[in-house]
Amino acid sequence: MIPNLAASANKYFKHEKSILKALAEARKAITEAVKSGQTAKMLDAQDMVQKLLGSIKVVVESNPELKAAGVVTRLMEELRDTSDKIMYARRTLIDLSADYNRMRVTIPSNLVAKLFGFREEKGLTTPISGAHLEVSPEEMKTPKIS
Amino acid sequence: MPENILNVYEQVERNKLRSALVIVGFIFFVVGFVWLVGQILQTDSSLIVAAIVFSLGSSLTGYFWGDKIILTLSRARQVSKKEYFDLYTVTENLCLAAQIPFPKIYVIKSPAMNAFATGRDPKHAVVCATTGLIEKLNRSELEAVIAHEISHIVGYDIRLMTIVAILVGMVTLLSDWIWRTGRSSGNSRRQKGNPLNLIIGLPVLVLTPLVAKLIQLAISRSREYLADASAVKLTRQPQELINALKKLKVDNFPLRSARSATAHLYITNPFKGSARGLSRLNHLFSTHPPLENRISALEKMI
Repeated sequence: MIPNLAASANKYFKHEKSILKALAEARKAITEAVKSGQTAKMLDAQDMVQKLLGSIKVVVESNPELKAAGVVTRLMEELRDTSDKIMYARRTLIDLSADYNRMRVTIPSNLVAKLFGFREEKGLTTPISGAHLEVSPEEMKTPKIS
Repeated sequence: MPENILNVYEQVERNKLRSALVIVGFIFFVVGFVWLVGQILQTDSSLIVAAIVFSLGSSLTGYFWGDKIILTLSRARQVSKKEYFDLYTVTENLCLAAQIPFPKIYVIKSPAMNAFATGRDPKHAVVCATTGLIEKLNRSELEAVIAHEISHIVGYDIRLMTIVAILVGMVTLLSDWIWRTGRSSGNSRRQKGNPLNLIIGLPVLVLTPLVAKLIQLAISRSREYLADASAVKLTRQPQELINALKKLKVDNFPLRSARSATAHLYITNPFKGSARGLSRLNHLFSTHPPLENRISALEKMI
């Protein structure tokens, strides 16, 4: 669902493609200016950004009901909720395994744990290497929901 | 301030025990009172039977249908994920963290900022928020407030508070009714000649709401601190709850659909800003600890 939302949000953004182009140019100019270390160039870049901000404002003001806005906010909401869900799920796992491990080593529950050979729970492990870090071409395809 | 520190399981057991005690105490109180009245008036035992039926009936109603009655009284409406995305998903996430089943979500249409939870156990629970709360808080602050309500559910506070709300409401209704019948028979005294009704009606009018109020007080004040602390344990963000409480403090809309019997259910006093909330006596008999104290207790956690 999220990739689809992102795709449709992008489509809406095409209307403002020209602005994006200008934005990219401005960014380029800024990095160049920073690299060269010349104050004059930096000032130029600053001017460019300010002009750009103005034109963005014009676009937003001329289309108060930017069609993109609805889709984008929806996308943001879904993203936030999904990340929250992942966060809570991870924390629940950490909390529960910590509680279990504490029970396993404290009197009197450790006696039962020893009797039945309860193992220590690892909790949340984040693998640093493995196949999950590589992306196969099949995974790059976006699932389409009509 | 919270008296002694309880863990969640002790709290649950104590709340279950207290719920049972409140019901038993209520039945004894009503039956005993009616018996006393019967002794004075020399009536037959049918009055006591009526008292037993009334007290049993209202206790059972409070246990099984208390949540529905409270929601209807508060004019709350069940809502879907589409209508209130943030409220719905925030509750989903917190239930995941608290490991309880997903409760029903209700919303009260009111500019006042408030929220409450009701039901009899986590399987039959309801979380209710006002539209004012949803509009004026951001997602993190809403999460903190809902976490407070979820901790009421986890700790079985909802069972005790719902039963108390229904019984307090019943007692208020009954004392109203006795007072009225006492007065009307006082008017027709020339024909019947029964001033005793008035003599009994007066203490009933004064005493029963007072007793009910005291129970309500004893139950809700320290509970709010505990729920605040458990809410922070769920979200791990005391600052968001502090921000939310500060916004609640500034908000001055009284919640019209709140009754004095249901006031202790809400996260903050629903009568603030109205004439009922401003009186000194009401402050003394407040069902909620002052928000400043709750905020300073939370600030110690940062």
